[in-house]
Amino acid sequence: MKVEEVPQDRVRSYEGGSKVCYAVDASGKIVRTPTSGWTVEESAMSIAWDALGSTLNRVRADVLAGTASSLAWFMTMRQMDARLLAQNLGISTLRVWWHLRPGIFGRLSQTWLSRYADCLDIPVASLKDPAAIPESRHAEC
Amino acid sequence: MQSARLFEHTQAAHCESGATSNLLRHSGLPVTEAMVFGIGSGLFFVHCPWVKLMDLPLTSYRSFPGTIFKKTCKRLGVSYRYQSFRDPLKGRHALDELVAGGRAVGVRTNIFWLPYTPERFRFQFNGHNIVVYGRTPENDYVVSDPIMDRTSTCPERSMNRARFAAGTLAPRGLIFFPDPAAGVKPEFEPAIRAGVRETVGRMLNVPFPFFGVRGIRYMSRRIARWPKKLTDPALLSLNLANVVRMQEEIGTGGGGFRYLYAAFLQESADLTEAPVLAEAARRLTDSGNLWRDFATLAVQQARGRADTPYERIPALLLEIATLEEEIFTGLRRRYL
Repeated sequence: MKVEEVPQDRVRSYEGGSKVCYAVDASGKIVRTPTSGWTVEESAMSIAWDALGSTLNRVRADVLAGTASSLAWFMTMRQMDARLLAQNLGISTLRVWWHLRPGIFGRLSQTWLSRYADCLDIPVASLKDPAAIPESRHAEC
Repeated sequence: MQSARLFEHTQAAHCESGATSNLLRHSGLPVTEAMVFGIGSGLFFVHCPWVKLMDLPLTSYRSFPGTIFKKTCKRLGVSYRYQSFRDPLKGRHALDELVAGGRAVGVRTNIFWLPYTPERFRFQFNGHNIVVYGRTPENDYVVSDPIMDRTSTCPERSMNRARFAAGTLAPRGLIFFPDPAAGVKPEFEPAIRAGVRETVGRMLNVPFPFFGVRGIRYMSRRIARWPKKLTDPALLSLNLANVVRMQEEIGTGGGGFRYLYAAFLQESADLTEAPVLAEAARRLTDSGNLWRDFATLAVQQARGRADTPYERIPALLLEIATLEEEIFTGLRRRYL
């Protein structure tokens, strides 16, 4: 890749910033070159984020239908699964899995709720309020 | 606070080689990112379908996180400190003391919890290396993140979260910095040779099909089967996109680190007067170009907008494997 071929596609995900690429300059030397993004890379990223968005919406529907606890949505929002959440709390995965059931989750003590809220960096109040879960917008590319 | 010298932030393609070269430069040893990446044997290829990251098969273009810093320091004969903590409180104090003493400290973090990064860069990945070198009056950390184009600040709370996140590669508050004895003059020639030797060995000689050149061929075979295996088109495009993300998005300098490693080979060729390395650098740039073509095709396919047949993707990977096998065999025969 030559320096003048380094993509400068001003992609949205860079939020106006730049990254560094290595490319060949006119004298044949490989140099550090700033790039404002490449549409191919951005596309790949969008595919992954779109998938996360649709997962979030699916979980949201489950929560509203009463087949999953709101913990499930917040966990997914933080890009975690039950295993990772359990590791972060230092508890068993089975326990998190158990708490993903709405009935069980509804009977959890304040202590448990605040542990989850703290681990996921959200207010305790939103954990208890499934109606407040926003619909995630699908990122379009 | 006796903030000794001002820390010079240089943006880098890759976080670990960038943090290491910035730290080394700060301690009075001017080395480029590419040099660090090469001496620390950063280049690799791995495709392990049974290891899942976010439910997708692990594909990596680099060596195991954490190894570049240590190998670079060892091979250059620079002493260093590399320490993780079982007790988060001790880890916190250790960083605070060092920073208060005016030292720039490399820190391993989970990028998901770093609030100054663009939102879309954040995912649960525990191998992101940054440098902390000061405190603001509000007690935030002053951070030089190698992949960002400027320095940033990070609140204490987020930093602790990022440093003590659990999961794969959990950082456990890891801190690292080189601590060269005064007047150390590192020998570059043997360090470069050691770095190249390890990379060549790993690209060619690992007796499992998942690593190095064999790994590229293995991924080619697997990708060829994906349309049959992954009947859900959404899953197919997720898998393809994931390979491209690992190659381009996560700070590789383009072409899955191939350009970065080529820069190292070129610089070494000038430094040690070894034209073999310059030749290898040129060909590795070609390989980088092929990887970029592969990314373009894979994303077109994933988006359902391909104008070339699917078989072109695995075929391209085989081409890359052949080329890289030639490059590294050449290095082994004529350089090592």
